[in-house]
Amino acid sequence: MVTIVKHILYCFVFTMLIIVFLFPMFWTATLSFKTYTDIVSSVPKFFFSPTFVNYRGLFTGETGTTSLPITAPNFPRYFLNGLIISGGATLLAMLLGVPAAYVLTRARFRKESTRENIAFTILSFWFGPELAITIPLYRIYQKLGLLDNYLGLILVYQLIGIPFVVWMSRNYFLDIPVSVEEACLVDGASRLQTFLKVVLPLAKGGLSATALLTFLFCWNNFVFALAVGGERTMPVTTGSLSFIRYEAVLWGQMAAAIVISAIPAILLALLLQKHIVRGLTFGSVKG
Amino acid sequence: MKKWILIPAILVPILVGVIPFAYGVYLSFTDWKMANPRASFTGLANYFFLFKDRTFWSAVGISFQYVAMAVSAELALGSLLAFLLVRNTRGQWFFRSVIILPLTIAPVLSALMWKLMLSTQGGVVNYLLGFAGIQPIPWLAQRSTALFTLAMIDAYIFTPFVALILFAGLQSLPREPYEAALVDGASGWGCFRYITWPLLKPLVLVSTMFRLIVSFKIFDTIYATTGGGPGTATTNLHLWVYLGAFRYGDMAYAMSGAVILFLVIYALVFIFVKLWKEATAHY
Repeated sequence: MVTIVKHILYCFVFTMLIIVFLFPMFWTATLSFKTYTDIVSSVPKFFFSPTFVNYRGLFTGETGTTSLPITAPNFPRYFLNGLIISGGATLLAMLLGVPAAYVLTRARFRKESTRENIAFTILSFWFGPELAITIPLYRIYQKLGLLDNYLGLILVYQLIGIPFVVWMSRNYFLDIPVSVEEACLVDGASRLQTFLKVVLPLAKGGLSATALLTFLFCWNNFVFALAVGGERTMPVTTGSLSFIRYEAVLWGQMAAAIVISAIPAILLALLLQKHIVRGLTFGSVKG
Repeated sequence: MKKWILIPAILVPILVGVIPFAYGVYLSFTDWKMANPRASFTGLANYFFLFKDRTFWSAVGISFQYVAMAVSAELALGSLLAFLLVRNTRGQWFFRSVIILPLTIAPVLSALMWKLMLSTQGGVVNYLLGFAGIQPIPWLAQRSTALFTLAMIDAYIFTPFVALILFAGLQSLPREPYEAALVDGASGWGCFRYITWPLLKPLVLVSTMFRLIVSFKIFDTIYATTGGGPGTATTNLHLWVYLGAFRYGDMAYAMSGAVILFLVIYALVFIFVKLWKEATAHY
């Protein structure tokens, strides 16, 4: 009897938690299919006739209501900007970070503690409060003409990208037994050949997870884009705020924009379940 | 092994992170403003003003209040969730996927979702509370609830972070000590106190420190929902710095606040790195 009560209680608590986690996403998704009048009605509507007007509006620039004479935010542009900046930042971080991580796991240091100290130094770049860096960077970029510039943003995103790539891929390299590489070296292959032909293929799964998570972290970043980005380079995170207008809030379109911007994240979450815990903790915990 | 390969990976963050910050420390000793780009040296003037500035101290206080509320909620709910998750053997894949979702969606988007739901005009939360006879509460729009509401949004996003780490820890616990303890007639509490807790402690540390650091410098969720208001009720230190620099154009003064924020964060990082090294030393 006690076990049955316990089981029911357990199921109840669990269901409640799942509802709490899923409901905001579910609700936002329903909002994106509602008309403006349905959204602002004083009683929230659980049953309504779905409309695609918000999604269409995101791409055509219509606001979905004639009473609001405002031009819509340029969502396709935000999406494209996000792809360019996050894609570029991920590419650069992988190019610089992966070889560095490999060297960090395999090189011999005079003092063994040097290895960990270098690793922690690289990690600590990630912790800095963003505005302590972007306020002076704003002045530097102003002089260099890098404000509201893709290259400028890709460079500053390396503060997220490089520490993450180094720490993640380091763990995947550590998983590969050194004996495999030694065998190749004995057979007369060079270090570079061993790395390209043996190590990289072995670490392929882990490295692609690293790249995808790096992309996700960049895609989700807000502060850098706000401080040194601008109208021209605005990604979806800062762009989603442009649905809040002085005249009115375009709730429906904002909900639609949230849904579209979150789709890459949700797909990655399902694809990378195994790697995500490791990624979130910079490799300190194996998921 | 060619160690120079390490150099670019260190040099780029130095170029866009360390050098700008060092330059920023210098700028905090000047009178640089948006409208006065010349920036002439004024010594410690900004810091003197800072320590007499009520709005600065209020922002520091709000940062600490926010961290205390958010992180304690996340630790409590996160461990509860981890213990529930590890007992459930059938639906693990599904439940893990569900709780991973808030972590992968941009925090600013999650915050906006909650803003939609917490609105007093047709917000679904107030509507549902109405069934329990509760009058609509302007969650994010009144002083008494705004900061708490933001901390709970933080908990919504990051509780899964704590839960996933502790869950991974619980799953990797060895069976043998428990069997031995049962044979010796140990109680459930004894098992937890002497076996589970020592093994989980490093992970609790890691997740706590990560959460402390990140929530102390939280910015995007607050900026997107309340913008620091109503009044200054949710202006934490990071937001105070932003508003000072980019709204009021007082760049050098805001930077001096940012230097303080930096020092607090790196004091935490320093402790974190030390504890992490200790905790992972025996692996």
